[in-house]
Amino acid sequence: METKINESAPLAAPDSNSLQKKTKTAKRVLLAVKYVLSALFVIILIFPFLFMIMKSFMSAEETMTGVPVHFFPQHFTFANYAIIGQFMPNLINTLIIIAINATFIPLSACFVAFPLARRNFTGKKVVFSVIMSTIMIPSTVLMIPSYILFRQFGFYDKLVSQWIGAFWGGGALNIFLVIQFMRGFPREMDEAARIDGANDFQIFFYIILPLCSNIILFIAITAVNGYWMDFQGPLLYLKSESKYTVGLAFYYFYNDLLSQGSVIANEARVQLMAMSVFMSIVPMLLYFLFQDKMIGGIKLGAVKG
Amino acid sequence: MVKAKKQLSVQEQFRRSAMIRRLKSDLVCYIFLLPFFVGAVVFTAYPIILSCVYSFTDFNGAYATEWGIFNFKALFDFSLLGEAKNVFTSLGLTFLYVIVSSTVSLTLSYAFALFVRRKIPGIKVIRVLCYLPCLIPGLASGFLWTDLLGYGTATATRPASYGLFNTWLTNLGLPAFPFFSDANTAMFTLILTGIWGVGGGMIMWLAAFENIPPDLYEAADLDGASYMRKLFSITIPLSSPMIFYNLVTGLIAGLQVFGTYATYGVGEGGSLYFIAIRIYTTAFKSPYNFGLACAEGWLLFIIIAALTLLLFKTTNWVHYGDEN
Repeated sequence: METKINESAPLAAPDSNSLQKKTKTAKRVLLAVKYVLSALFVIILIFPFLFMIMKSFMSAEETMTGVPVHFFPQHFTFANYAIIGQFMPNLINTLIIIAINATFIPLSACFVAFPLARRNFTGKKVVFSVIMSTIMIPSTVLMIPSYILFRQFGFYDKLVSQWIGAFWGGGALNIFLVIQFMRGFPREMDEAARIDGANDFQIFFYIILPLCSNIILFIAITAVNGYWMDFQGPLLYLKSESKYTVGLAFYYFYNDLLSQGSVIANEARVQLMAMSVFMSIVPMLLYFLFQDKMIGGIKLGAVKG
Repeated sequence: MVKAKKQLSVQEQFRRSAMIRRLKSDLVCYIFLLPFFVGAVVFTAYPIILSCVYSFTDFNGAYATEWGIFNFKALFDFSLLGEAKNVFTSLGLTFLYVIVSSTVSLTLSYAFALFVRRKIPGIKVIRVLCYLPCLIPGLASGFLWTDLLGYGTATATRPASYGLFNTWLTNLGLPAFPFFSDANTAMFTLILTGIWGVGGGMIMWLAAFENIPPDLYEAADLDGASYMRKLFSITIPLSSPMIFYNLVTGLIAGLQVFGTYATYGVGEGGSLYFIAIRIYTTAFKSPYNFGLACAEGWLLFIIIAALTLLLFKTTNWVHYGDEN
């Protein structure tokens, strides 16, 4: 028996070795193919983005008809970004809107989610399904009547029209996210605090809310991104130039260019690219700063499916 | 007798105080819920009722003179005077866009996520770079695409400029492609540019894949299952709730597409005149027909509700794991 094994072992060994070698090289080739394919994908995906950045640094003469379209700037210049200076009042409007929304959307979502996540009360199931059913109402149906309503309330052409929605729970999806998150904390925390004489409001503000910082941050970032270049809301409600948000001001800038004639001047075209880069900066920065939290929030959303 | 009575009343008292405590705690819970209810009544329920009322009038933003079902009649009136032709063209365009773009982006982002899922060195960088285009705001990407895809001849809505893509095409000896400048190619172009957003879907699928227990794959490997077998027996079924969720939200959001209006307007020859844009222009462009716009909104709502219900009725392919 033993000799048999000894005999067969050296026979089998080189065979399996060469097989291993073969699979190793095959694996390497496969890996190389994967890298090449991914690189190709990535290049295709980020090419427009890179082009936007490059063109924003080109001089207007470079983009004239006759000059072949090219990728790298030949006359590198920051001059195109000067146009952003014109929009400073609009930028302030946008920042006000963002500050209020990014603060109160997550806070009010936490407030509303608290009893649903951590208390039992009469009618809980009904309330929960009412909140969830509001997801189904398309905003397009509300577009015209909301406009009329805001006119009645005197919100028309005022910045308040852009942030008044932040105080009512911040939308069903945000409430749902917070409920999912709050359910994760042990129930004993509330009971211990209650024995110490805390009421529900104290429990919420001193114990639960501080623990929600991650989900608050996630919702706040989403709110910043949503309102940073929001177009539909400002287009409907903001009519005087001093009230325009940056996005809306850019839109009218572009529209004026279109209405002036059939050809957009080269100057304006490089300026548009500078604006585009400017618009992309905020979401990019937020993403790179809070990447882990963003992914965490997406994961929390993924569980619900 | 007296003792029994006293005992009863003690019990009664106990029951009462428990009820009061219960009422109090319920009340506190509803105080927490109050913001939602105020918002829901004032900013959702009331506008919905308003919209319902206005859809039966000729309200123009200031006053109404007539009552009746003429708006709904106009919606289905295919004669020259009626709105049906316009509205159903918009609905058709919207459906075409939703079906093609969501299918394309769903399959592409899923395939992409499967591909990027492997643990190879540098995969994190690849993921971040893929997500980059999703971070460009719609307005900015609109500026960018009109620049990149510029076409030679000027039109009413699109300025003359020769973009990079057409320069490449002509350098290769091919004819220039009109992209957004032609009614026949604008929709195709819009869907094409949508592909650059697959990174967002990809990140979400990757998160969904992480929720699949790894021991399932280990067991499958022991049984010698092929890659395709694992894909169709483990990965797809176990991410099906997420696929379903994305189908529904994609459908609801897609049917209301409006953002394209910022840079592409209604498209060359109305080729991108989606229903949400039509609702907007019906109300806010002369002759300011708010009533009709409300009726159009209701038509869209009914369509969305019916399709969502239909999708929920066909969920037997969705795998919800153990029911508990």
